[in-house]
Amino acid sequence: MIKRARSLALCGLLVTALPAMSSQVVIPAGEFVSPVILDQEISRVWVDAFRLDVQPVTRNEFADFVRKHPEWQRDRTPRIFHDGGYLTNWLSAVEPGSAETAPVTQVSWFAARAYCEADGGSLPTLEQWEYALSVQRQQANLNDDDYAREVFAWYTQTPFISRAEDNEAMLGLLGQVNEWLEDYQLLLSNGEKIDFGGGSCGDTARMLANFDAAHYATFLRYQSRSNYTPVTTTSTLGFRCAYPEE
Amino acid sequence: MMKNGLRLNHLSRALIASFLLTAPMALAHAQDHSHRHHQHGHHQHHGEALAAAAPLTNESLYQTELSWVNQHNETVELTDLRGKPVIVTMIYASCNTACPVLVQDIRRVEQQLGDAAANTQVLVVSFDHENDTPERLAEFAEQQRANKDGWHFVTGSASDIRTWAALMGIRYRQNPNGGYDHSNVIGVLNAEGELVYRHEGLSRLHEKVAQVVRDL
Amino acid sequence: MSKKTFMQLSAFALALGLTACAQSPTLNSTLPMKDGEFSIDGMIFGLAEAEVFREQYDSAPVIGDTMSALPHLAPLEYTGNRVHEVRLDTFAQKVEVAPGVNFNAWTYGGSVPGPTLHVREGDRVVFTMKNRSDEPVVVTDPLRGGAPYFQQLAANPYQKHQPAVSPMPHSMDFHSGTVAADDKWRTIAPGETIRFEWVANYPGVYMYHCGTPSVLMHTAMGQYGAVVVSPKGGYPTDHLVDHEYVIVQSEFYLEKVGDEYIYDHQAAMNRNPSHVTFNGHVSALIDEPLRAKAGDRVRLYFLNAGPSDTSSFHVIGGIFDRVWYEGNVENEWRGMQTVLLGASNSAVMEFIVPESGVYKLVDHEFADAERGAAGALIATPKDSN
Ligand SMILES: [Cu+2]
Repeated sequence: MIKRARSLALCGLLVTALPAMSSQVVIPAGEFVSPVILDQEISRVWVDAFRLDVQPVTRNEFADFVRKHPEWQRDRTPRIFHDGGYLTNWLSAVEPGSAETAPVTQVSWFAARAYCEADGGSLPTLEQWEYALSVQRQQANLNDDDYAREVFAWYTQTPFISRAEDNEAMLGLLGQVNEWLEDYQLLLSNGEKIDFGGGSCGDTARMLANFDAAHYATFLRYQSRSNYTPVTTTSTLGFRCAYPEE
Repeated sequence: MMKNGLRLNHLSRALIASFLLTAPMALAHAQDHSHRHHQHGHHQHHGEALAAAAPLTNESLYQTELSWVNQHNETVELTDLRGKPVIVTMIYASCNTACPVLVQDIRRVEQQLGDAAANTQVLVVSFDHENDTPERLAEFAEQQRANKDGWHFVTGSASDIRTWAALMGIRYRQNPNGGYDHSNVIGVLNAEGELVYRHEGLSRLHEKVAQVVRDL
Repeated sequence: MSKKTFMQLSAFALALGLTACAQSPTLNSTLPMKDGEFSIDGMIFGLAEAEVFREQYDSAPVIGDTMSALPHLAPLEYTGNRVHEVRLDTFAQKVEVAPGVNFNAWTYGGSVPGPTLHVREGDRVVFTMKNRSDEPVVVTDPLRGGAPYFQQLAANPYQKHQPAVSPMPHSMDFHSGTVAADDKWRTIAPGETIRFEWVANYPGVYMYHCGTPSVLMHTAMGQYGAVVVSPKGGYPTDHLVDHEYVIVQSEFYLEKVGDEYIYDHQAAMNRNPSHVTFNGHVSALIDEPLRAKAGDRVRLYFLNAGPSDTSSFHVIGGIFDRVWYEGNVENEWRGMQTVLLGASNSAVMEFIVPESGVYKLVDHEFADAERGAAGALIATPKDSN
């Protein structure tokens, strides 16, 4: 009971302190210049406006989902949908037990997708997510060097150095969790053929739209995200959902 | 896709905060909540319909209960395939490089199998949910001389195609020309729908695949 | 290989000749080929495909009786060829590379560079690696069944290892293996395990490293180490050698942000390292110098792991009597003052200790020596114990 009472207090505090937490933000339509060259040319695509969760899905929110969808409770979810680590950091099948407002992790791509679908949305596409990040980077005035540093710092697990004020403007897109995307797996191609150089060393010069640390950091994210399997559950993999903007 | 997609955060926070939400109540909520998968049934709910059959194994891909439409415009539930081995691949009909090779390779497997081929099914799932209508898939099957019993050339929703590809370990993406770049995979499911063999690459391993099927 | 084992080895060489004639006149190895493999010039190719799977495993992250911590080299206490069952898990570890400078490295086995594997030409390695980057792994409390590496690490934990968590996909590329990289060296996600085999077809000192993109970062973050493949007939001086040590040179590109050091990509691209080290710490071979006596013949197995710089290795006060470039006994040089090695090049170098005293080991590219690429060998008098 004591534990519960404390988490209640914590929860209430956070709801009042950060009212935006439980909502979404509209990412306005615009052009997305892909930082990674996937088809031998720098691609520019138009991204329609969409709504995006302002933060990664929390452990509490995911607990609510598994209560409503018992087939996604850790002891019932078939092993084809996860690697064995699914929610093993929770107290029970339906209770995180601690850090209720932290982003949920140890969820597979299958589970993340099921959550968003049940919520009327979907996982963001790679284009949507990376576009949203570029929009928020501009809004937050996060310069290229600081951006690269934050990305490298996160991947080397020193997240506390990211500037606190960035996180709100950046929607926690950097520095919290690596986020599942609907089409996160890259298939580097070379015209009709699958690129034989892709996925190993020496990709940078061929595949970056601009040869600087910021693009390298972005490419690191593309590549490492791509190397997770859909059943992977790690302590740094979470997600948020996207929704169509009517 | 979904118009009733109100976020549940406010509600769920309130409920959890009140600590009145016990597990049985959560289940009651679940029944009210419409879920896209429920249209063709989802795990626990739908499982009852198959009460007669033994439960699916933990590794069975048929637990996804995806539903397809084949080249004859018939619905093909994954669970319909249960009971016989299935050779699987993914293609798209306007592809004229790798995809015909994959299909012809499966035809060769059938030839290797001889009479045993009658006990085998083939599931060819298209990447191209926009253009590959049942009619277009029938045409493709004809071109490939593979429009025959036991062969399903199927299409489905973009989301279900993505799910299937993930289970098969197949990567794909639409390229700027409207085609699809994709990994070339032939797999074998046993009678329970477990993926027992998977080969990536166009290396014409029909003898090996036939052996896998024979050994099942 | 020391004088002690030379006699044993000569006997082995004889035995090898006989066995080879009796069994398969075409193979370099005393081990048989497996189904599906083929042989060219006595070497074995066409190994089975790698397996990727998931396992519950929380035991020793380094297994193999010839897996040692730097600067040690495990002796090969067998004749002919054998199969090595080797495990080397990959996981994060906070390590120190200079006083007060530590970072969350991506490692093999918990140290940077990782453990040294010693095999003989013709040996077969059955290699297993789990990607445990999502769990804290303790390496300073040796587990039963673990490699000698752990005792050596515990005896001299100069990197001050602390468990860290940094989930990342990784892979393993052994330069000592001749295989299709897209199969054996493939990337595995955290929680996955890969198992594959390779045959030591060529003798030499080889690098192993992570080949997962972005490869510059993965190597700069610490994922590399050495494999020593001793020639099946040994080196011609085996009976004369008194001491053997392994040295791996590498660069670190770190910048301080707040109180922490992180990877500095701009510096890595500009080949402007913050630290260049022997065996992963600027003081590794100074606080614990190599030891010998006057008149001893000292053999160094030296690998320049890079990731990007050259090494001009020199012993101050010594001349390399013999050098085998890349460690292959066919590539012999004599009387070298400095051995120039590019990234992932190696050499076996021997020198005779002229008299008692201190012999500094340096990268004679002095900008690198000043960044830490220096060590020492302490020589006691000829008749000392
Ligand atoms: Cu790596």
